[in-house]
Amino acid sequence: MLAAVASNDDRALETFKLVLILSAQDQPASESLREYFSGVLDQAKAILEDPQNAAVGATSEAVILAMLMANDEELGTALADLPTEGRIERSAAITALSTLESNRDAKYQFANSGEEIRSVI
Amino acid sequence: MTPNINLRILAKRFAQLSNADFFDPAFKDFVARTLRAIEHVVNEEAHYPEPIVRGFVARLWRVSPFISGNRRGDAPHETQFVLKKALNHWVKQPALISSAAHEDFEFYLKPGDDLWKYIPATLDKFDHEGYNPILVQIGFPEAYRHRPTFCTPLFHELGHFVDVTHRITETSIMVAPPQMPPPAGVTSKAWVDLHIDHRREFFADLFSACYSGETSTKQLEVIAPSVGPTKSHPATKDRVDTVRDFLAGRPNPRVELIQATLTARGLPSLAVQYTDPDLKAQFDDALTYRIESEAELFGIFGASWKYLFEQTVTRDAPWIDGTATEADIETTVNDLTEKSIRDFEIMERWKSVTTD
Repeated sequence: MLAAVASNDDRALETFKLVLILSAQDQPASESLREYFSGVLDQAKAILEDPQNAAVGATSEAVILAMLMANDEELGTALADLPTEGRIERSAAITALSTLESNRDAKYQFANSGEEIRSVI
Repeated sequence: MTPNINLRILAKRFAQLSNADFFDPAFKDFVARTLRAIEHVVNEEAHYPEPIVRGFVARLWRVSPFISGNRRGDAPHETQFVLKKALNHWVKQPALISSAAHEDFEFYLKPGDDLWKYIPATLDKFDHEGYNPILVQIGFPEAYRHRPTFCTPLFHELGHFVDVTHRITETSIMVAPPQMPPPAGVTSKAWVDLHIDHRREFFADLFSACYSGETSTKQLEVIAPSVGPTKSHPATKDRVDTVRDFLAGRPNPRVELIQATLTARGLPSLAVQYTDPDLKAQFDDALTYRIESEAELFGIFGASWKYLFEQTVTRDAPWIDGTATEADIETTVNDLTEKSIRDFEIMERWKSVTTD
């Protein structure tokens, strides 16, 4: 009961990433998938601009993406530059995918001492 | 192995499942609809790129144990009934709840797979008919199946579920980012992650307090009385103090941040949803307590917990004779609590039938 929440964070953006995976393979994405992708990205950008108001009704994926973009400059730039309509260039898709993956793989870099954590929190 | 071979294996598996019995009939519908989607992809194999099919297959494997959990029907039914009432305050979609009983001491409520979010986004030639249920899996110690009094940690876990479903903590990071730069030797990501983990616990504690008062935090004080902050959890004292401030209506910056975040997300504010039923007279006579409202339904968890521990000390209920052990008292109180909740559920169903 006291354990940290079991998270499916690593999978939360899997569908979003599909468009990037298809673009990186020079395969077309269906209209419904592009709409989903654009919807998430547009909402994330809106939340970045105005978190107090734009988060109402946004999808959970958009909230996660906005948070990642706000806290990882490289990721923020890579995703902000992607077109929400039309074709995504293969190289841009590969860059965005790789920054998303490296963000996911980043680990805690903390000492274990509770005192040290208390001192910084 | 190609995803298409797996898809055919899964098609057979779901075809068998569509003939199985389920504890909740909504699962039969879930399986039938999923089977239709599988058959669609099998028939339209050439249309869908391999990454789409691979993602679909991965999700089908992941929902398979979720479905099995409902066939067993081993969830703590009465507790699940109450949790669903609380969930209705926060989630509008229909919820499919399955269970996983554990031998060890583990409670959780976690989101099931996003299969039916994936289908409309990716299977463009399939008519999903707007179907998008929310999937919830409850994990609990098997020994507590008929012990609702001990299932209050599930309210804390429900808090995590609601948080993750709406990404409340992530929204809070956007609304009130951690102070930057991080302390020396700490990466920005680690700093943000630490705040996320701590805020998640504060939210779940407060959520639980809305439905079961201080029951969870009192247990925390018993289990981990002087534990300081770790990477994943705030200090026990900070958690207990925050809940006490909230319940007493005292200003607390952590509570204020969460309430502001809920407003920013368009969600209801955290508010106390329970009242304490006075069940001593009925329980002393070994009678079920007649729950009069949803607020009492939530409150019976804390009230029965309090009654149980008072009786292990005072032993003043007439049904406790000299030979009754603590285990006998515990079994009886849990039994009375479970039956009180069941009576409320039956009455509610009866009223719903007679008014329709």
